Amino acid sequence: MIEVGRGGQGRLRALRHLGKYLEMLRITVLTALTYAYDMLSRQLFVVIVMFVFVQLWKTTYRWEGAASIGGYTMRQMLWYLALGESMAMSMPRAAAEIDDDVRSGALAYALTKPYKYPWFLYAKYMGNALTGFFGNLAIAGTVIWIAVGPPPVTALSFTLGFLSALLAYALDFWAQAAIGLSAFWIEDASPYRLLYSRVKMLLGGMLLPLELFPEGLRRIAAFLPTGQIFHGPVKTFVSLSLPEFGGTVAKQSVWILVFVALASMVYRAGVRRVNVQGG
Amino acid sequence: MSKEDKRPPRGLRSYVSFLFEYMKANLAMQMEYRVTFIGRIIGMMVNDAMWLSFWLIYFTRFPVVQGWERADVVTLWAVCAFGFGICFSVFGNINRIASIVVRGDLDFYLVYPRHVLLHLAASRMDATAVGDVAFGLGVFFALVRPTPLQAILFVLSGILVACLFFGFTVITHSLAFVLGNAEMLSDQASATLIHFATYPSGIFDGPTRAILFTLIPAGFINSIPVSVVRDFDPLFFAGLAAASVFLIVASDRIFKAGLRKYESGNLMQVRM
Repeated sequence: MIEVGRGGQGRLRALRHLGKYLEMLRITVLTALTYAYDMLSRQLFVVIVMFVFVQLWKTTYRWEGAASIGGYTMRQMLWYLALGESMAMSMPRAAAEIDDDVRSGALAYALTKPYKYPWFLYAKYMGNALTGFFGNLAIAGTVIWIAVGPPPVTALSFTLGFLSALLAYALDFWAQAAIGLSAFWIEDASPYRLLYSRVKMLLGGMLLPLELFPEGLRRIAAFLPTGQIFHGPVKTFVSLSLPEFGGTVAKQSVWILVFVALASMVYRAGVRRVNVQGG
Repeated sequence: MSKEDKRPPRGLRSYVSFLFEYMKANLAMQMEYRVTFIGRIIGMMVNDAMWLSFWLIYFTRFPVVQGWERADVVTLWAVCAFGFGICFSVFGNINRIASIVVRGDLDFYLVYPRHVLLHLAASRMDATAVGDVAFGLGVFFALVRPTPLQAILFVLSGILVACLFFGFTVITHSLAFVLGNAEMLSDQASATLIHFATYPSGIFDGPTRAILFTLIPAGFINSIPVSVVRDFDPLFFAGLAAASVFLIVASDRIFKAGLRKYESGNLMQVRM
């Protein structure tokens, strides 16, 4: 009886903790929605990006004289790019925020609060990422819809694609957290942040589906964590294959665990170096 | 040294030495944080290399698209990075004009005895732009392996591209004199120019092409690999030079016109 009671209390405590972070996520979403027009006007550049993609791929398909390239029709290709771009442009720069907090000392304030700093940031990240994703998709999707018609998605591919996108955001956050927390030791982490974002952009399949990569590079990109951030979820959206989806989710889960463990280790070691002075 | 020698030099020579002194001071400032400075240069080179890698992968899969080949896109990225790098490593402050105007920080530059725009533009160096210059030159000479004539045309084109970036950025940022808070608009306009400029000209046609040779002068930049470096077209090159001169003159006039509308914020601040 006592053991059951303890288990129940533990579950209650875990739920209370989860509730705290869900509340943070909700507040972030509401804040972002309050400034929805401001957010959308900042994202108008997506129109230019999508317009240029349309010109590039229309020319490529016409020049190749092919109905399908790398297994993608032109409609699938452009929606792939629209979804990839929407995800990429909605990913908050968590590493830069953590870096600032560590350098400015704002992290010391967070340590006194009744939450775990990395999980607090994760909730905030997800709130901003989700609102950004749908905002970007509304703009990018409009351009692509006008150019090539409606998205090649079904209810199932959208649901599974969205699930995989949530895991991709989680993976991106924890990878960024590990880089950002390195500010405890490194003088300037901005070159590493830039390197990560560019590797993610190129080897993640944001600009080009991995199927169009040379075979050797494709294998490497498909294995790396960055390869699970765009290509996996976006391909699920536009061209669902259940075995591939299973593989993507499995790889995403493994890499998330690796980066959560790494970020937690770096955080614990870093916090021990924090020197709080009154004043 | 005679009395006459002590007088400040006049004309173009004086402005060149003025810019040179500014560049020396800016560089000395950057070198105070040597590791960060070098890190930023390398970071920008990696950034450019990643974009170029995308195009190399693309042209491995599609060797020729609309007459463009791998060497052309390498030249495009090289000339764009080189021109952009020259512009922002010398005049790194131009992409802050809109925010300087809005905050009323322009007062500081108005009391100087020289050309206000030149002072404002040259008073800061963008450290990452040095990485662009290094990347542009390195990639062009290592991957394209140009003939001496192509090398000369590349350098001349890079300087003209720098003029285009300077003129366009100053004009879009000068909108702040009229619109007030135009930081986002000017940033997006600059990003639009860069975005169009780094894609092959062959993929754009019809009205888009017309816009790219007028409103957003990216057409002059993204046609350089084919119309200047690969098959030299004197008419296009003359057009590129004319557009560069036009944008420089127009930016100066527009900035001066905007300056007449500028209202001081009577801002008191310490500059260190």
